[in-house]
Amino acid sequence: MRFYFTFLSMLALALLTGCATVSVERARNVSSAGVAYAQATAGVIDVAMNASIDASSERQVRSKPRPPVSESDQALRAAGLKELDSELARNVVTYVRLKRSVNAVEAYFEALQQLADGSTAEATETAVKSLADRINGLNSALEKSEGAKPLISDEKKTAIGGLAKLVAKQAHGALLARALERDAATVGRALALQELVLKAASDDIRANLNDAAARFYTDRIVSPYAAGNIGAAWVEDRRSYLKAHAIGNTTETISAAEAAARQMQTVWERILSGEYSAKELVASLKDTEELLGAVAALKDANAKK
Amino acid sequence: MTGISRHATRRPVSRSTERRAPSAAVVEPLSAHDQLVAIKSSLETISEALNAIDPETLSNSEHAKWADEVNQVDLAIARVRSSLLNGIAEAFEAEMPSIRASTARLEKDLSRLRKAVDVINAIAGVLGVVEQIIRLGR
Repeated sequence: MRFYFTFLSMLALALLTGCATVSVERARNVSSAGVAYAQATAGVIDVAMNASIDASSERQVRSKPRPPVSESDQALRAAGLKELDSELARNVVTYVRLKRSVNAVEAYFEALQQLADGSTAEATETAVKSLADRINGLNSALEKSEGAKPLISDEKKTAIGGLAKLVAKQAHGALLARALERDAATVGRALALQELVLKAASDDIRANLNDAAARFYTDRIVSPYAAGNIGAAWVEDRRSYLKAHAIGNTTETISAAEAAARQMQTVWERILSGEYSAKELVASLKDTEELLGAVAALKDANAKK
Repeated sequence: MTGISRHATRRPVSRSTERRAPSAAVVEPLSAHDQLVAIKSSLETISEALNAIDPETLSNSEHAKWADEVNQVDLAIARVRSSLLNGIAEAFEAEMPSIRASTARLEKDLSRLRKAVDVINAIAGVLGVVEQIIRLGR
């Protein structure tokens, strides 16, 4: 009797704690979005590191001095390059530091993903059924009668196992809900910082592309046109420039990262606000229905005792 | 780093807290971070304009002046980028102990979840052994 009372208390607690499926789905959504966001941001950082160095190199190539270059000018240029290179090296080191922080955020979401996928509901059901078998076996050994009626009938064993499974499912969901609530502020701050990293890295990539587009337009479109030196290649160049200019020259890497950032924001805002969607509400009703069904099965099994 | 902190804490603030904020439009001064972003953006616009100049069309003196400007802008962009990225990196690194602690707690949660099943299985195993001993003793 005490055993069932414990189960029913746990069930009541589970019902109060909330809806397991919703919490698990929510944790799955947020973790997969978080991992994708972190990976996309790390990808943008890699591109930005190259873009910032390339942009500088292109500026240096374009502004190279007209010969002859005096010895004193050469010394000045060498010193200037050294100063510029040490600054660019610092930029790379800082980008690597930022990538390390983004990787730590990714590790958080991977751990959350593992916890969301780590339900022990099935294993608990099997374990509880096996425990019931052992109790029956031990009882029969103590009673010294092989054919004695089992202490826990098959029907009751199935009902207890099913309920244990659902309780484990609820416990898993509650654990995830608690984890999300516990980490909301920490992860929220990390995501806001990650957004700043993404913005800074994207700006470096865009600046490099804008410089390149400006050079392309001057060298391949305006200058040949002004000199009257135009033909089939000029037609191609003009079309590609105008199309890229009109559509926007955002690279795929930035687009993917920005899309991931938008998705992440939506998911995280819902986590923080505790909003339920219609789909989540249906899932939560299904959970409650399953739990009531399991309690009814246990009650039936007890009635047939 | 106050600028970064303001950005970083903006999102997790609950709606109710946001509602308590004064409704009148308050013009906040630009944070150090925002200022650096604005300066870098201006420098990048200048760089774009300088890149749009055809060096072949410039006289020797114009070319020397233009090349000097390109170099100055190039160095300035790298320096502003250093300050900008360093500010974000410091703020991010300050958050790392909390993030790592949260990750460790999730791993511990998963391990505790698995342990519960292990305990039930262990009890069943012990009962099984006891049953065997009793049967052997008959």
